[in-house]
Amino acid sequence: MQMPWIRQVQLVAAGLLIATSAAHAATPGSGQARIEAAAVQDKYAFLMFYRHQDNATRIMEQTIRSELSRRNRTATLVKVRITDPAESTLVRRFDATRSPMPTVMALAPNGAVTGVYALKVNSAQVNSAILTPKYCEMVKALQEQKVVLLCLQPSDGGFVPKGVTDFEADPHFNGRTYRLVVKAHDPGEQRLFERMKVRTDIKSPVVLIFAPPGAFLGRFDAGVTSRQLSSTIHKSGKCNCEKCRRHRK
Amino acid sequence: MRLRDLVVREIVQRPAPMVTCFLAVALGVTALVAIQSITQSSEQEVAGQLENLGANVLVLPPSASLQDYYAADLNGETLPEEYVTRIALSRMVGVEDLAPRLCVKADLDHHSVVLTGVLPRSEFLEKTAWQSVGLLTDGLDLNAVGTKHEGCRGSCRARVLDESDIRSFATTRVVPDLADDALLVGADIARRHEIAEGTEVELMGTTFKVTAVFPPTGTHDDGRVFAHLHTVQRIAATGPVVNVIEIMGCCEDAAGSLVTDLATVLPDAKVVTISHIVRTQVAVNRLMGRLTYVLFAILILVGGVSIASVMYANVSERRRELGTLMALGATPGMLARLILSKSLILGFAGGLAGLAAGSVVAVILGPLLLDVSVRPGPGAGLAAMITAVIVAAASSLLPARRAARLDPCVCFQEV
Repeated sequence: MQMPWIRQVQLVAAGLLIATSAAHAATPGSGQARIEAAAVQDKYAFLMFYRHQDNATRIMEQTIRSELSRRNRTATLVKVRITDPAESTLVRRFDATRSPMPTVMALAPNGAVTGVYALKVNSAQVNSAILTPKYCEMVKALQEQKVVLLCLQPSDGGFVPKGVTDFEADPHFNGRTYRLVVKAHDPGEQRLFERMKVRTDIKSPVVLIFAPPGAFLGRFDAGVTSRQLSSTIHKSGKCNCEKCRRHRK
Repeated sequence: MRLRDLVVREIVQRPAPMVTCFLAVALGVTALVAIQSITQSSEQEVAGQLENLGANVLVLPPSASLQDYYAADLNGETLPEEYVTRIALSRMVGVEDLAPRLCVKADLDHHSVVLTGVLPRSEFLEKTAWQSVGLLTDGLDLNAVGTKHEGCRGSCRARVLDESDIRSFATTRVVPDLADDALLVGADIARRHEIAEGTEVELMGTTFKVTAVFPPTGTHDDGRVFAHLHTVQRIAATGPVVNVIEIMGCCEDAAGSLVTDLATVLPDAKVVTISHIVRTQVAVNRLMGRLTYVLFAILILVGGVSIASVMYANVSERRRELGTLMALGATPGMLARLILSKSLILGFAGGLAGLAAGSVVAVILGPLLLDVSVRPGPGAGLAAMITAVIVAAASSLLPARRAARLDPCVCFQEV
């Protein structure tokens, strides 16, 4: 038979556990909860921070709503007043008190920030913040401080160049690279090819290398070697590897 | 008697007028050498500081006055910190780094020190990372890396910044990363308060851990302590404000266009380029240099007139002696050379004394007046000496001519 005081302690402990869990979860209806809900529905969240409902805020909201009304299924607007104590977690996460107001941030379903516009925004900017799924992956990886190797492949017979796989195995970059393979015939990724200025009728793979936060370092054909890729990144100074630090000293 | 002995006797036997002439010449040369030496050293100092400066554009509150670049953040006026975010988000071409600063007075072991809040690079790089999409497109459009502009001649300092060495802040003015309770200490403060790395320091009721002690830089930063900007804002209860935002442009070409771009993004701030400040300092130096030449011309003219007057009087007063010399066989040419030699010696000695005195004055007054160490160069001094000798010789031409034309018979008749 269990002692009554042990039962009481268990109840108190269970209560504390539930209370702690509730504190970590987003408050229903809060900006954080709406962002999470948008991500679950594979939607973009346009997170708009504002201080007062002034003219600039009204114009920005109107512009975003107008553009999003055409994309209701892909994006939603989340308004957050920076002085609202219930939104303090989100305000702290994006350091909103130190940003000009109003500011809108486009958040992809995978959590990547795909655009930030302060004080004013136009339809073209809202539109350009909505990316293709692979493009989102690439931006997320760059924001996680990884070097991105984008392999654009022809519709038929694509392969990952050996230089890319060798580069990934390089101990200097091990765990700090992200390989992204995109097929030219993928209808959802035509815009990525367009943005990367690569034709979709390529006959052999094309490799593009990017460094954080979004620096384009070079474009190579399928014959690229690991040495060429490493040399490009070391030369750019974006590697921050021990070897280059020693060399600089 | 040889001419040399005659000249020496002339100078030794009549010291008063000779000393007057000597001082007149020496003063002119002293003034020129002293001011020119200080001006040249000041220019070299400005050039050296310009090379060492991290920032080439400053964003200041509109009412702030800028007397000293290194003390730009001590103006007391503030700007909202959101201006830093505006710059970080605007992706201006040519901006490589940002260094916002906020200064507050703090008490360290009953001594007042300047606690400067600095924003580590990691803070605004995170905001720049939000611009990844835009940067990707820019990179492809410009076919270049980062935010360098076309034809950039810059060294792209931001990319060669050593992320692991926090001491690089002492020279680059950019700190890669900084913990909330980290304290960076200037060389003078560390020496005065015997602070070493790893020790704990209490400032404004907050305990900081000393992460780095900087080597001496020869700037105001040696007498400061640095902490994370947001920590300083919190403990000083200032709110999200800064005193100055230093911007590191990729090169001087970018600095010009950055001013226009920054004025558009931050219409309520004052944007100043370092070259603008330097231009003002260089203009002041040049004005000082020109004024020195005017002063030298006046003083040397006074010296020349003084020599001419003394020599003329000397020839008039000593007609009988000069007539005696001629009766004893001295030629008119010898008498002219006698007068000229005395003047040349006075010019040379005055110039030499002026050169030495000017150099000493410059070495003593340079650090006191302009806070620059002076190493006198030979250029201006030699020019001044040659000028002094030429002026002294020219001044005595008429008296020498008069002496040469003396008639010994007339001289004796007058007696």
